[in-house]
Amino acid sequence: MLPRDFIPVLITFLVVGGFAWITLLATHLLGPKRYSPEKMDTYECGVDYRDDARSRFSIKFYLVGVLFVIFDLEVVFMYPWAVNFRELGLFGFASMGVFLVILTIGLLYEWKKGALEWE
Amino acid sequence: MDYAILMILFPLLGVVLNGFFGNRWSGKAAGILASTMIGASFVVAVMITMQLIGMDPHHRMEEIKYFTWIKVGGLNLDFGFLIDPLTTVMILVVTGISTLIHIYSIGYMHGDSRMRLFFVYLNLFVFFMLVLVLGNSYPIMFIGWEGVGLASYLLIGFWWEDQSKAEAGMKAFVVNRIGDFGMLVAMFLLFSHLGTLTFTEVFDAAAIKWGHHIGNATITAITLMLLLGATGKSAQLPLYVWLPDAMAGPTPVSALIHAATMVTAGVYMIARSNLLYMLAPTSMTVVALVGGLTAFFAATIGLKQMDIKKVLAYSTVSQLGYMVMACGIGAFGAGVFHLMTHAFFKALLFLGSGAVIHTMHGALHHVHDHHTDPQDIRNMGGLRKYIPVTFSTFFIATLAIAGIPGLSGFFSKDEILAQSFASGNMLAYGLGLAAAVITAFYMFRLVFLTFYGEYKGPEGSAEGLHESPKSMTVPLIILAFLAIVGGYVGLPIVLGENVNLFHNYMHPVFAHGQEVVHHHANHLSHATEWLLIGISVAAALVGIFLAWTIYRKQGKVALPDAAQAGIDKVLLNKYYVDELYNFIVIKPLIGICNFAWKIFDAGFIDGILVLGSAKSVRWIGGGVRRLQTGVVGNYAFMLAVGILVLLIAFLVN
Amino acid sequence: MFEQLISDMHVSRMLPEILVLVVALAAILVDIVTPAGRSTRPVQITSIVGLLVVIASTLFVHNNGPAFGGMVEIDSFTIFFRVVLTMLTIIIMAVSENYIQLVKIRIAEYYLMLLFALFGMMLMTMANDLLIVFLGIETMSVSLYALVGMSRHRESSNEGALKYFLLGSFTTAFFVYGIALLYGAVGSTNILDITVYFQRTGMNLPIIAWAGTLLVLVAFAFKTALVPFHWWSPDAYEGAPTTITAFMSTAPKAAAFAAFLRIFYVGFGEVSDGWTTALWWIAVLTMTVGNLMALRQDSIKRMLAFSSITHAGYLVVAMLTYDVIGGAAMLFYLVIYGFMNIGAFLVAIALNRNEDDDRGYDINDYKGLAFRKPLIAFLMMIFMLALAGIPPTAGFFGKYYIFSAAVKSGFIGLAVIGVLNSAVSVYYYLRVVVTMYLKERDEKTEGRIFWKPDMAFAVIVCAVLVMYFGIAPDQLLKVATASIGALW
Repeated sequence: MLPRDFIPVLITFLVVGGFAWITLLATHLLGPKRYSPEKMDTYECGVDYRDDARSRFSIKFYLVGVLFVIFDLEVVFMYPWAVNFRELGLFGFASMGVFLVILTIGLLYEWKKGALEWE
Repeated sequence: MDYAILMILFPLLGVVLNGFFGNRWSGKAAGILASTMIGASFVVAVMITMQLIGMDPHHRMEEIKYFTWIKVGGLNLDFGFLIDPLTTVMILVVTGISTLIHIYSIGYMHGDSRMRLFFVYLNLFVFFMLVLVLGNSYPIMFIGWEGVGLASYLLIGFWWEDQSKAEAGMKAFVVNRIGDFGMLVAMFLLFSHLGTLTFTEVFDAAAIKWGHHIGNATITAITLMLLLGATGKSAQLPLYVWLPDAMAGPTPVSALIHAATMVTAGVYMIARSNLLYMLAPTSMTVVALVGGLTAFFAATIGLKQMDIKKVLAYSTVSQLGYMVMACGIGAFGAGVFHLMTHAFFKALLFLGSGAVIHTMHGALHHVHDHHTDPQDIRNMGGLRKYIPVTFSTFFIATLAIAGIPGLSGFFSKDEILAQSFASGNMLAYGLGLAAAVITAFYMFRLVFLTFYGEYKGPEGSAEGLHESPKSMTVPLIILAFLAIVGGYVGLPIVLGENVNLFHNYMHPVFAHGQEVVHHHANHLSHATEWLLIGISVAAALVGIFLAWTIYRKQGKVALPDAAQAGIDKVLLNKYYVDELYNFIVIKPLIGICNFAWKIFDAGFIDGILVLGSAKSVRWIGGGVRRLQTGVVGNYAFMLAVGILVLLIAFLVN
Repeated sequence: MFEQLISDMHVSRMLPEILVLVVALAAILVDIVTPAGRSTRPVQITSIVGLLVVIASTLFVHNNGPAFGGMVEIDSFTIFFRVVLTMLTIIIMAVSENYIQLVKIRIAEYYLMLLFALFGMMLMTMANDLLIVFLGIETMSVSLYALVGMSRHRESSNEGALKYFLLGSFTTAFFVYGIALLYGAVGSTNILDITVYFQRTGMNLPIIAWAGTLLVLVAFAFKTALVPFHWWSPDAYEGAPTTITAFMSTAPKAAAFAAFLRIFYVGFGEVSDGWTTALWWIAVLTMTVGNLMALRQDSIKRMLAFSSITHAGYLVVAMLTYDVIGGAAMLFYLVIYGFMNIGAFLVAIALNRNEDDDRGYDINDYKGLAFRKPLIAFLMMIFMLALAGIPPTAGFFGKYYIFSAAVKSGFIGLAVIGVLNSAVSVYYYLRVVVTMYLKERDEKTEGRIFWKPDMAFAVIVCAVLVMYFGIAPDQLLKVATASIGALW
């Protein structure tokens, strides 16, 4: 590969960067500016970024976090399995089936226990 | 025959049910349950016996191993049963008489506040007694041996509110420990010399080891130690003193434990160990002497006792002496035969005396008299009119024990006397014969004073004399039947070669021992046999005649205790043996104990060792406990310190 | 490329473990279909029936050998613990329903957590790889953390759970660090590879291997509550619902000891000279400290909790011998200890006046119990005598085998200290018997007695087994000897 062949890539970079830059500039120039403390916040997400570490927050965050991890990992397992689906054959298929059945029962369980309801 | 285990499981079930759940039902229900359990055991015992009889006479022995019990070092013990003719006789006697006495107790103990507990103890006793006679090794027998001792202790002191009764229980327990010491030493010796404690193995090994060294010091020591055990349990000289006091227990207990079953354990043990005894002639002589002397000595004490149960107690000691003597002269079969017949008539006598006491109680209660002793024969008299069933059964038993031909006691006693004559041990024969005369005398004295003559109870109490309830009289009648016919399984040889069924049945048990020492039974000529029978009968008649002359014809009435003098007084006070033991054993012992207690125990052991160490341990304990602060940070810190210390120790290594 | 891997899995060899998971899933489904607020009885019954099937599958399906590519090993040792652990769990489950109603736990998770803990424990007993041990320990521990905190309305329960969790995670960190160090030295976490490595090096190890061994040892010492890593146990034991205390002091302890045995006998056997010294001191400390703490307790629950530390000390004595006799003695003791301790705890539950009250397990409640409830008193006496090691109970033979094994292996000093400690322990065990049989009844201290049929049945089963193994210890010892033989 010659350096010349990378020119399209460079062009892409310029276009993308330029688009971002132009958009930001345009909103800065065109948009109305009404400041408020929330807007001046670093992440602007509603949570104080600097606070007492011992403050309380709802246990439900923890629950949602755990549930997210479980189903996130499910996908992590499924990717390599999908890639090797043929080689793993029936055994692999059955294993994943068992895994999904267990997860489904887990899902039913959390549903029944009300873990999916915020209030 | 594996189902033999059921025999001990039924009484155990009774203990569990009545002991743990019994407060849900009445005392009477508990009694019925307990009796049913023992009855079931009896049925099993009969089945076992039938099965054994159905086997070839030479192979009538079955050893059942249930599980490996102890396997430690060289000791390899199975929990198992040995079933042979001797065992079957014992289990039939134990379960049969127990059943009757359980039923009798339902009536006798009626109204007692601890009736349920009584049946728990009684079932417990039967359980241990069966373990004792069924066990296939010395240790298992010893478990039963200790267990019946415990049950006996609990039952003698059953009415422990009365100080003297509680003490009687204690006395029985302590005296028996002396005998148990002998048993333990014997077992240790057997194990160290033979390496086993299972009966069959012990006997085979002993026959090989000592078969050609008859009279070896070791086997003599072992058998003498076993004899010490037997003198404790079977109330022989010099350890008989606990048995008369044991009469403090309820009368059914006296009948079952202290007459028919437990006290015969010593005889059973000697008969079981017959091979060992055959190997030690010196021990045999000692056994015969101890038995003969006990038979005579206890009979003389019986002459003057005023308490109806005490008379029977000394009579029991005396009869046990006969059995032991029989073993001592090598007539083991005759000893076991007498054990069986004695169980019938002595249980009957005790139950009869219980019925008499029961009746007297009712009479005294009738006039609200709580001072007169319902057991003192000086307060009785003429009872035969009021309680005919009790009287007639009691009379049958008296005839049996006195040795009147045709009743069970005659056959067994005559066999013992004939065998002792044949063995040439004239001292034993003499003692036995003298005891027979005395026995007939004191038994008829008892009958005459109790049932004949005028009623001597308090004024007006005669109206309160009533026959006992059915549950008590029915067992009496059954036992009376047995006391009559029980002897016909062992007719004298003189009536024919094969008429002594009992002897033939028991023969395989003792054959091995006789082979080892090349022992041959001494046969007497027919003329001699008839002569001996004649002498026995004459002895009984002389005793009865004397009693009749003194207590019926002359109408002599027993004097109050204070008016006794001379030899009468000595006999009444049982030769002062209790006082003697008190003076030479107990007093010095208490002195030493006091010294040890005050100086050594209270001062050194308690003060310095026990309290000191307990205090320091408790003190340290308090300190250690304080380390458990409950603060999780501290825990984590100490955990980390622990790891660090270990790590450093590791690295230094 | 996967054929070889798949055939090395031998999934069927883990049939009982798979069944435990199936039971757990079935229990979850039962819980899901049960309307909220109803009794948890259906979940309990599902679990127990399922576990009976597990025992049956263990006993009747023989399929030994390595599975999952050698990460776990199914041998007679594994089978022994499978049966024992499942039985203990069944006993606890059987008595739990009435109890959790009483203390207002009333959630099916109680049983689910027990099932997951059981799965973790089974994994530990078969683990042939440090990572599987780790997996098993964590599965078990996380369930136990939750179980300890089940009595949510009771402060001490929450407190115990939190402490247990914090200290547990603390030790887990050490454990993982230890595994990492060993991996660094050996290049594998499989104990067979570790053995090969140690055979090559002998006692001349690099420091990281020593440190790794030590940290693994600490992790096991923590899980089996050995001094000085026992700090969590009194608080956790006291805080936990009492059925769970009974469970924790027996089954998880047995499982942790099983893994401890396998890892140290098989994996670190070559360097036994190194770890026996450390364990010698740990054994002495454990026996003594546990005893001293139990000595002055007036609460039966605390007394039993502390004394369970002492019993772990006896087990370490057996383990130290590093031979078949000692190992067999250890397995024997683990089994009988399980039954006698659970029995004692169950009687304590029956007598407890008020679970929430600090004085709910006061020894004064036992005054004259023999006259009030002869059966309960008698059963308690059996357990106390067994724990004190008095014949004819199984406790006697348990201690006898342990100390005679120690003497045979030359640990005479240790055996003497052990015997002295059991003599001290007689004091507080017999104190209970004396209170029951020789003290007058005191109407003031008499509370209700929680004696349900399921409880009575379980206690009697325990008592019968304790007596049975005391009268006929031989069969169990034979089985234990055969099982421990698998490690050689």
